[in-house]
Amino acid sequence: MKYNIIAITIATILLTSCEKEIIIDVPSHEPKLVINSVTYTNDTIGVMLSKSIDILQHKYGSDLSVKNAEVQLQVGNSTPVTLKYNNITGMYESNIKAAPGTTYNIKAKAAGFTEASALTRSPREVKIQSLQRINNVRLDMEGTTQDELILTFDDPAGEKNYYIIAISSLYVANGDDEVVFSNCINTSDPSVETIYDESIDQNTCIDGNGIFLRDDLFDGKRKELRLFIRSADLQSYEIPGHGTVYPTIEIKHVTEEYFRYLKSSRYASVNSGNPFAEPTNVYSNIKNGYGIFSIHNVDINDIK
Amino acid sequence: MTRIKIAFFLIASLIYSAAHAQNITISGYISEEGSGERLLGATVYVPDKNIGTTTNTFGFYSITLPADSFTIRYSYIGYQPQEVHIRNNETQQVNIELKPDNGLETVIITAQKDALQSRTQMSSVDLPVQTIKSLPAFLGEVDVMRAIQLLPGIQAGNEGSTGIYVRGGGPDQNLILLDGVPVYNASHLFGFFSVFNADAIRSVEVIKGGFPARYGGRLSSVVDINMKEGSKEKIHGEGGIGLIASRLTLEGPIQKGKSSFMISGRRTYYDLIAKPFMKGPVKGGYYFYDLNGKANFQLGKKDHLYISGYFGNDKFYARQSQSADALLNTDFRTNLQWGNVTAVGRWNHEYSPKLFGNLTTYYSRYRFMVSTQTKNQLSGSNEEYLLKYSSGINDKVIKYDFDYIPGANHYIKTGVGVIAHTYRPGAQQTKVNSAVTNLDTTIGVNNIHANEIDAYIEDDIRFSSRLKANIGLHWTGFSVRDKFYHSFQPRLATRYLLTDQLSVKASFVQMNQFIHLLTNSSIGLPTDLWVPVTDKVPVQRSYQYAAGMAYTHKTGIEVSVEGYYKTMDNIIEYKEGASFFNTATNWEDKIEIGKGWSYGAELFIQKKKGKLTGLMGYTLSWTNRQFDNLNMGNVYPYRYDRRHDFKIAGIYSITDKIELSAEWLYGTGNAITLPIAYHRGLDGNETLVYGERNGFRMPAYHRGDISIKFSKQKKNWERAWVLGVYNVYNRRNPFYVYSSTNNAGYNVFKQMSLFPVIPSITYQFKF
Repeated sequence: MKYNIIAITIATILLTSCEKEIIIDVPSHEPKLVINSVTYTNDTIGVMLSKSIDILQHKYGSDLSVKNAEVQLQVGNSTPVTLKYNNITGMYESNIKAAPGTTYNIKAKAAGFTEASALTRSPREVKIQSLQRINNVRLDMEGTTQDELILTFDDPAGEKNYYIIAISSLYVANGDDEVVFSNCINTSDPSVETIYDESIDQNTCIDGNGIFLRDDLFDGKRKELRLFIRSADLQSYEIPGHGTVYPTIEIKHVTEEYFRYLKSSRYASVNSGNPFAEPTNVYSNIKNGYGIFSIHNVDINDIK
Repeated sequence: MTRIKIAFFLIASLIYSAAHAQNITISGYISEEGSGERLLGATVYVPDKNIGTTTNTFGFYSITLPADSFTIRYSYIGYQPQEVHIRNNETQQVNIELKPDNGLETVIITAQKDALQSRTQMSSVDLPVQTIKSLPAFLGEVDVMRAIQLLPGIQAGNEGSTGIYVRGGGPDQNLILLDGVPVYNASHLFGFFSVFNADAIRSVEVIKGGFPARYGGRLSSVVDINMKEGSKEKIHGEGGIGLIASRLTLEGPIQKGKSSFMISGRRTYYDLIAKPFMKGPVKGGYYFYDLNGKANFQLGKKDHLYISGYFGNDKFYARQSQSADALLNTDFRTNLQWGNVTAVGRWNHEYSPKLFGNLTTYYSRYRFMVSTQTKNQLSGSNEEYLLKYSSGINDKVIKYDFDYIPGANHYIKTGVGVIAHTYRPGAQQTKVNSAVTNLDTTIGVNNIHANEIDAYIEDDIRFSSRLKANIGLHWTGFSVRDKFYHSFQPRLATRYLLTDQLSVKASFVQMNQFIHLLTNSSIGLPTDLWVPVTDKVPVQRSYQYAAGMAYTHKTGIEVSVEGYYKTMDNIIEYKEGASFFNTATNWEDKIEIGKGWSYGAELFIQKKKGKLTGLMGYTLSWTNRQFDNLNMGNVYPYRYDRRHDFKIAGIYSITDKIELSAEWLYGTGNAITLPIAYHRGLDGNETLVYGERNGFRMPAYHRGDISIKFSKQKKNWERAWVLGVYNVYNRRNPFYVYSSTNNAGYNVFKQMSLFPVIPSITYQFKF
């Protein structure tokens, strides 16, 4: 009994915590238009238009889409084209195909909102020049065997270029399949960045869904990138009717805006809910609004 | 450089003139009657000449006067004063033993130096250990750092934390010394308790500004804590049994009258109590302990040796053993532990009545370690997986300090020291023993070695009976990774007596700091990492200007009012979104470098005599930060920018046997960053738009605590029961605030609180 009383007292002392709703004087937020549009070259350009809402007026699941807006897309100096709202996809769509090396201007107007706009220039096409896989070259920190991938591509000269590389494979189990990204890729390449902007070495784990590079150190040259990845993450599968499905590596040549957007977006996502992390705002290139407007191109190779 | 040259010239010329006067010198030691323990800060005063001094850290004093007959009055608050008549006009040694005054009039203040208004030093408070012990205690555990938080200009961080933020400074800017040795992590249990066991402590002094030149290495404060020496006459002991911890202290002579010891221990026992209730395969627990020890030896009339140390640890542990079948046994263990070790040896030597020297050598270490180990036994073969991460810092130091008292108008302190720092920013060991892999590798053992040299000189100059000044210069040289940094830091503090009770004071100091603490937890997590200056992370520097008035009423009530302005350069903050939980990231990549400033006014009132004693502090302050890459380069309030900070504490002796104490604290809510809007991102997920950094305020913090102590004198010992209530009116103070949804599905702000009303009971004994 004595133990019980002491234990209950201590548990009360150490473990009692409490949460309660409080009122904090937050200035009211004027809603803004949110333009989200990221398109691969050779795909038609569409826009998901929505609105921002005051944090205290937002209700989970509420519809933030803006359907009665006028959205115009201008290619270079040509006459702007008005995009049509598609009730099924919920997007404002055009029949304009994104082309590399072209400037696009988007504007959105809706009653009750300030006009939002964005300008972007699609990057030139960059293709994978070669891809080599060397099996069982080293052990990672946990003693697991890794393969080495050596990827080469040519960086366009005289301009700032940004790349995002991803390695994925089809995971098949019990008849179900799912695309998964390797969660730990190692490299000591000085051009590689992570969402944390940390100094990396050959033991730093980098998410396979976002290896960020900028061309400051290889402008206009052929880039050779060496990556180490667990051999088990590069497994191929036999799928009836489809033959052998190999893991893939893709290189996205992206705009600076998208590069910054994706890094900050993932950064914010990782720290979401952590009370000890300083919160961060997600980058946006939308004037008088939020979101991202960008075009990029991609090249994908199987890893055999 | 001009300021430095002027300071040198002034000091040198004044020393020269003073040294050539014809005088006699009375010197010696002041100690406590009955224990022989030396008293630091005791007053030595010659009323006929209106000249006085105080004892140094080791109880030594020296006063030089024109050859004449006169009376010297020795006093120390809490002790009966003594007078000695000097008639033979000769330089001589006079050692004094002061008798403790056990009357109510002095029950509270036992370690106060000379009167507040007379001291040159400003922005400092001696916090009597007896006051610390009498204040209401959290969970019944008396805590030195929590008592320090009651002083104006010093703020607590989060709810329950023992961390301190002094005049707008960060948690890394406090030099916390235990017997002169820096303690790098002064927290137990994630900051809810400090490492200082009040039973082992003799004195606590806190300095917030106007730092004398002998201190260096931190920008914002010095907390100078000295351990008890132990009685040289007879064995004494005291202890306590509380809800979460018990403690015991023993002290006594090694050789009667010549040497003594003190040993003190404290341990929590949550783990021992919880053990019988853990029935499943998982066993775990938490405990912390402290061990303080000190011994001192009189080696002759002129030599004294002190050896002391501290050893403390926190440990979380869990173990799970499972047998899936007769062939497979799994044993999983995880440990999280951290702790400090300090060891110091000090040898005093009295070279002459005017020259006192002290050699100090010490070692200080802080270590953090987390490990997980899995052992599998499968069909006779063994597999082992071990992952261990450790970080820490250690210092090895040798230094020599002199006190030179050439005459009544000068008190010169000078010294030089060398520190060898070793920083271990984080090493990870991976060990795998299995049928297919055999690996044992450690990465990140990139220990950083740095060497530091400190030298200082200061002179407490008496220009007239009304005007005194402390002028000094501190120099630091710091060598790391083939780079050498150095700085001269001038210090100046002045006092002018307007009347015998009232003085005006002013000070200017430059402080430099060559190490940084990586933390954004604000709660003293053991993962907080000390790192040196590097090419990327420059030396922190501050300038502080302060002015104020000090007044002591004839009833003993002390009042001080101070205003200050402090600038801080090259301070560090985590980048937006950076988190200390991401240990993989190189620390230099996670931080931004910027500047900060703080200004404000402080009022402090202390009542030291009578049945009712206590203190009251109020601070009105502003603290801001500015970083190029944070908040778009705009100025923003520091997280602990607290416009109003009010504290009051009182101790009332109802009878000789019953003592009631209470305290109440109020502070403006902490500054926080909150989301102001919401929208959908590219992938349809929730994206929050945040307002200005630290642009919002948590609700105000306030709390009241009470405690009552019932004492009883037995034949050979004394016992006491202490009943306390923390947060007596159950205020739910915010620990942190976050956005969430309510039952209706709308976004709202919610706060997490830690401690509701908490009663406690402690049994204490003394013999």
